[in-house]
Amino acid sequence: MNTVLLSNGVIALLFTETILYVLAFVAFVWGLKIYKNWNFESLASSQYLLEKKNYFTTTVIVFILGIKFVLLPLFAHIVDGLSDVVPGAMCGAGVISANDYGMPIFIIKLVVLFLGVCWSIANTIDLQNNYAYTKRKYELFFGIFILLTLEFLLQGLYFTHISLESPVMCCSIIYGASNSGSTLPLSLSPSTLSVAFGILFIMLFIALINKTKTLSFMLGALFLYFGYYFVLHVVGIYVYELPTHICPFCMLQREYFYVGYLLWGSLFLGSFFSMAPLVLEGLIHQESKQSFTVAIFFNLLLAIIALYFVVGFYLKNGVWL
Amino acid sequence: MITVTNLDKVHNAGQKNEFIALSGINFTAANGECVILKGVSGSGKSTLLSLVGGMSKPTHGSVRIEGHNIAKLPDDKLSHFRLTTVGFIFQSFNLIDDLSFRDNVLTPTICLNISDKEREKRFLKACELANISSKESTLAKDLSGGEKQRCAIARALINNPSLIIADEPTANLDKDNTLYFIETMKKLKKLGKTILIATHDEIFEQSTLADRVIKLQYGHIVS
Amino acid sequence: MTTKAFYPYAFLLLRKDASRHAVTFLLFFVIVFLLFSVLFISTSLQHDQLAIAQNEPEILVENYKGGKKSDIDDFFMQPLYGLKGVEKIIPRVNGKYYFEQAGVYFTVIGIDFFAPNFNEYINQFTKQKINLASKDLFFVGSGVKKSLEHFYYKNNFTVYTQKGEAKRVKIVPLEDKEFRLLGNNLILCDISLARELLALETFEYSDVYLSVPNEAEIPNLVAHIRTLHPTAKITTKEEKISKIHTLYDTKGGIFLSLFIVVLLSFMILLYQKTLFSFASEKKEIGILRAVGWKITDIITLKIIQNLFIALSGYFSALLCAYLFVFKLGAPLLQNIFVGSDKTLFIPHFTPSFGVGELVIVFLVGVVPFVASVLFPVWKLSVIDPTEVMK
Repeated sequence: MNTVLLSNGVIALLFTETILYVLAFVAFVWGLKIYKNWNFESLASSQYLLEKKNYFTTTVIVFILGIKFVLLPLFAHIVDGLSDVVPGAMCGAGVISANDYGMPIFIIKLVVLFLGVCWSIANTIDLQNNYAYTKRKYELFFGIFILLTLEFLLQGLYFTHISLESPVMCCSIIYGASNSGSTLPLSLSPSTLSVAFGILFIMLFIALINKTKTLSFMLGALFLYFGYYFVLHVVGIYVYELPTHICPFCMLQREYFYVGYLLWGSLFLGSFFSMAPLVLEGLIHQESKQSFTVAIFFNLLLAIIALYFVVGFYLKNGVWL
Repeated sequence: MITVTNLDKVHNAGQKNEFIALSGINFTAANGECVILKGVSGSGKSTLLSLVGGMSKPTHGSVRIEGHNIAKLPDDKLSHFRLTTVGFIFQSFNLIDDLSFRDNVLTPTICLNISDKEREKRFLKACELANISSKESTLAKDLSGGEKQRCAIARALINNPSLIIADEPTANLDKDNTLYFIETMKKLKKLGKTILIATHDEIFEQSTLADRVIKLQYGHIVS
Repeated sequence: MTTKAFYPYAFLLLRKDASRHAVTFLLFFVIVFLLFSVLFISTSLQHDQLAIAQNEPEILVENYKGGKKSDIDDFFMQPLYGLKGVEKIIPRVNGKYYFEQAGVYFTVIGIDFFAPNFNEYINQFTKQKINLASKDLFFVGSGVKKSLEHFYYKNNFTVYTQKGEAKRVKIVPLEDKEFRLLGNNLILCDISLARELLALETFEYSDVYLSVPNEAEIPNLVAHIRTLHPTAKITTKEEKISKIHTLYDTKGGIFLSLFIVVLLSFMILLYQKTLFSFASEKKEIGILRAVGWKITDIITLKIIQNLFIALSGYFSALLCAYLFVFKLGAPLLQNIFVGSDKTLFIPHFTPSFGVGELVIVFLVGVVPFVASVLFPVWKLSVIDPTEVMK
């Protein structure tokens, strides 16, 4: 038996994920019944029963999505902690690349959270509009459930296939200059990337202030893409105070005051809420003005943290890295 | 104020134990009117009150209160309707025994986003209308029958509803308290509230409270 | 959506049913308390062992003959001096001394007051206590002290060398906190006395440490030493640290897995209890529904109440476990980890847990708690208000 599975964090994570998946499965089964037979105009007792069941499935889904928000940073923390036992790994970067399942799980988790945010907003709007969007809401949930199933299976495969014999690469190899995985988009230099990111931030800010859905979506997607490289190649080196240290995981560690959670959290949430309004428009033909406000908040938070490290370093030391 | 059109209520529709509680009910009640529902047990009085009060949903037909059809409202809107438009007084008072008089009366205000000052104001007004005070901290289970009734009335009035519904309100009261209840209802009627009372008690028909009496039998209106 | 008055009202309803929820709270408290206690002990021991490992040099070389550990001598060590990248070579004299009266083994470590020792704590100790450099002093850990005192050896003790000679030594307790990390069944004594006790001749040692400042050179050096001594056992600091993590992960993981079985039983009990309390709460919920509370209000009310029970159980268990382990020393419970060997008794645990441990217990405790009550809460919340009118 793979002793990775006996790590407290892994056990807690898998146990919680199992509970959530069982609940999600129940919500899925009930959701199918509700979706198939839903007719809000009907006065039949069967419809009233479906309305009552809808409360259960909604409560369960809200619970699942709420816990998922906690589980993502925990997953990162556990993976980082496993670097002490996985040979060759200095941080989570090496552990995530220990097999082929690691990175896909991360991406699926992020997509689930994004769709979860959209679902939560759709649910709020649905309740305010006499269940006008219940069926569309369930369609979205069915898609989320497929991803949850995939995530559940992949997670099991991931943890059972982490080898404690074969050494993995550390972040300096994975994200080092010689590795293609670290090439900046459009072959930009870090300083040009910073300028591009700054312009993107301002454009997105304007789009969010003006509540333009399509522009916010496009810019939000670009913001996420460029933001990843910006945090990795620009902000990160100022967090580590080392121009050659490029790693998305090391900044999650205690020695860097866990600032990585704030950085990545604000980047993902800011991007999600920027993109959510257009998705909701397509799903339920309704918009959510609060999304724009929340997106502005998280994008500003990211900007402030980034400035703190980058400009702060310059002010303290008088040089750029 | 109230318009009930072709109202049916069928329990366990399509099953072996199907039971038609109400069939083809049509009636209206104007603002400030007091309507007495008469009939033996099982005639459908309580079912009709629960449908008009938004506590359950009909199988067919409509219930319009101030122009809005409440029959097809989702639960949260129907609950809000009950909270703000209807004041229910039950036969067995239905107070929460281990809560105090004050907490029982304030129960309908908890879900409303109002200030503590407003909440207090409503409490005092409701107690004044129900003519009960100085029992704030007494637990509901320690109140006398008459006091429980007045507590239930205060609770029903706290959000200033326009419709008062009482189901056999005096079944567990003595004659003095019954008369007192009728006087309270008269006071509320003067304030413009619409009142529906389901009762066996003849004293209601004999009093000047009732504007109309509707008799129910086997789920139909007979007179 | 909850209002300002919602929470006090929720607690008011909870308080009036306090006796009904007390059993749930107590059960949950005990479960979480045990979990926290074990986690605290485990992380504390792991932290201490890691601290020791961090303070030791990078490579340990042990001689093995016929699969058994054997002593080393200058001839064994001679080739190691020529290895490039090795800053220091620190041989060790250590072993076990059998205290027959108690039937226990003490760990004996010979220390050199005038040369570097393998552990930084010992080096600091020898610097500070250089005035106590003497061949007839036994510096003893608290477990050894307790064991000796049990047999009335308070200030002096007679030890027997391998040659059968009796030696009278003076007992000096090791007060320093750092030695608690090394072990309570520890005896530090002069290296020559240690040799006599452990049947080692002059220039014989138990094993040898190599200090390597440049980590990148360690794999090369290990390979080189293997060619010099093919049967030697070579352990790097990284391997030792990894082994410690694995050991505690394995122990902790097995415990947590068994615990989860207990927790699942608790979840089933809670589910059934909540479902069966349906009857007594039905009227109350029916009244709330009748006066205008929404289904979502009832669900929120019940979840807040259950969350309150779960969180208060969680935090009170956390506080009690902290006091139990770090202030009282986890009596009885520590035996799970250190066994019944009295000399290994640990009087104090180092508080060393992070947010991660708190989140783990939260996930394993509070999340299943709330998950168990979701269905019963929903069932209660969708009660028809007309139920009250009957």
